[in-house]
Amino acid sequence: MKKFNKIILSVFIFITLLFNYSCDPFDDIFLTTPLKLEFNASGSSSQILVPATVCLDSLEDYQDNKDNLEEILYLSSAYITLSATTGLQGDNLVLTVYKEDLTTILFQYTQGHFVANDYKDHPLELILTEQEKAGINNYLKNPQVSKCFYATFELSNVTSASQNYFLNSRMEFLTKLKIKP
Amino acid sequence: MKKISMILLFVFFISVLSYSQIGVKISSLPPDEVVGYVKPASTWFGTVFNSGTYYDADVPEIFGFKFNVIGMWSIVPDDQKTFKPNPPNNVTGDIDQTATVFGNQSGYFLSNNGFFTYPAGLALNAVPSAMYQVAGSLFNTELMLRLYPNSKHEDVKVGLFGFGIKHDISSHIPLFPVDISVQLLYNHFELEHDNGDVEDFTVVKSNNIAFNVHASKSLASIFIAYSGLQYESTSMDLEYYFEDPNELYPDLANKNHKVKIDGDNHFRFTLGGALKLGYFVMNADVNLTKLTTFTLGLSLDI
Repeated sequence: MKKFNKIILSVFIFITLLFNYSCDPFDDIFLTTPLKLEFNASGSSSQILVPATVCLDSLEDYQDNKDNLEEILYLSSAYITLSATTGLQGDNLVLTVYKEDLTTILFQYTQGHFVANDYKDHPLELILTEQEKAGINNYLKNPQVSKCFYATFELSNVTSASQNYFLNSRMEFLTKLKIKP
Repeated sequence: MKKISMILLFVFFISVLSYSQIGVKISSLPPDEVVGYVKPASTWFGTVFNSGTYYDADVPEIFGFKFNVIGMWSIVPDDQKTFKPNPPNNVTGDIDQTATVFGNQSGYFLSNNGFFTYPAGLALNAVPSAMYQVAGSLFNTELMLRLYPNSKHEDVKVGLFGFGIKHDISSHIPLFPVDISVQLLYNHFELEHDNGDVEDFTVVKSNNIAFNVHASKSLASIFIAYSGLQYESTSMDLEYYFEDPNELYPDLANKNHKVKIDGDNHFRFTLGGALKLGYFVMNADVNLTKLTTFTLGLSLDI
C-alpha cells in the first residue's frame, strides 16, 4: 500500500508541475507592420498638393490574419524623401491624414520651411499628441472591418535648382496588430 | 505501412510546421540577428533530442529489446522568448528586446529607409514533440537507435539519425542497492525547406551529444523510480536567404548565408517513474534544464 501511495504521489506531482508551468501552448501574437502612403509630385508650379491613400487591406499581415485580429494600435509615424530634384524646398509643409470620409482629420503635421533632401536617408519622425494617437486608435477599432487612410502633402513657395522639379516621398504609419492564436 | 507513415509524420509535425514558417520569416534578418532569433530553437532541439533516453538503469546481461514512443512537452521560459537585437548605428529609436522564434512581440526601429520591423515568433509557451526509438541489449550494455531516413514531404525534406550506448556499471558491483548506468548519446537532425522560391530557402542541421549518469530502483517489480544527471551540447547549422527589405546591409543582401548557432542547453537533472505491466512500460519524467521538459513514454520491453 505504501508503494502504491508513492506511485500515486509521483503521478500527482508530475501532473501538477505540468499544469503549473503551462497548459496553453499558444500566446497572442503582436505584429508590427507599416502602412505606406506614397506622394509623387512633378512640375514647375510654386504649390504642391498631392494626395495618397492606403487601406488596411493592402497589408499582407492584415489579410493573412484578418479573422483572428483582436486589435490594431498606432505606434509611430515618419516622413521620408525617396528622391527629389536638387535644391527642392518650400514653405509651410502640411501633412494631413484623414479618415476615409476625406473630411475628418486624424492628425496634421506642419513645418515652416522644408528642404526635401534633408529627409533623404534621414527620416523625419512625426510626433503625435496623445489626443491624435487616441483618435487613430479609435478609428482602428473593430479591426475586422478594413479602414482606409487618405493623406495630403502640401507645400507653398516651391523652388528648386531647375525649373521643373520632382518629388517622390513617403509617409509611414507603424501599427501593431494583436492576433489571437 | 500507411499507419506507420502517419506516426512518423506526427513525430516531425511540429518541426516541419515551425520551420516552414520560420524559413519565411527569417529572410529579413541579417546573420548577426538571426543567431539571436533562432538560438532558442537550437536549445529546444538539444533539449528534445536528449530527452526520453532511459527509464531504468538496469541493463540485462542476456538479450533485451525495447521499442519506445515518447511524447514531450517543453516549457518555453520568458528569457527564451526575446533577445536584444543589434540594429545598425544610424537608426532612430532605442530597441530593447524583440521576439525570438518562440516569442510574440516583434520590435522595430526607424531606419534610413523607413520602419524596419522584426519578425514575431511562433508565440509558444510550450512546444509538444514526439520521438520513437528502438534498443537492444547484451552483456549489460544497450545500444539505442533513432532513425528517420531523409524523406521529402511536399516542400520539406527531413531526416534523423541518433544512437545511444549505455552500460550498467552497477552490474560490476555485487549487491549494490541501486542500478547505475552511464550513457552516451548522439543525434543528428536535418531539415530542408525549399518551395522553389529562393527567399524561403532554409536548411537546418542540428547536432546533439550528451553524456549522462543515471540511477534507478525497482520497487516490487512494478514501479521504477529513476533519476539522472546529464551534460549535453547542441549546435545548429542554419542556411537561409537574406533579403534585406530595408536595404540596410547591401554587402549581405540577396544571398544565402550559413550560420552556426550553439544551444543554451548544457546540464539537466531528470526525475521520473515508470510502471511495468508485463512487457509494457509507461514512464513519465521531468527534465530540469533551460527548457523544462516533461516526457511521457510508452514502451514494449522484452
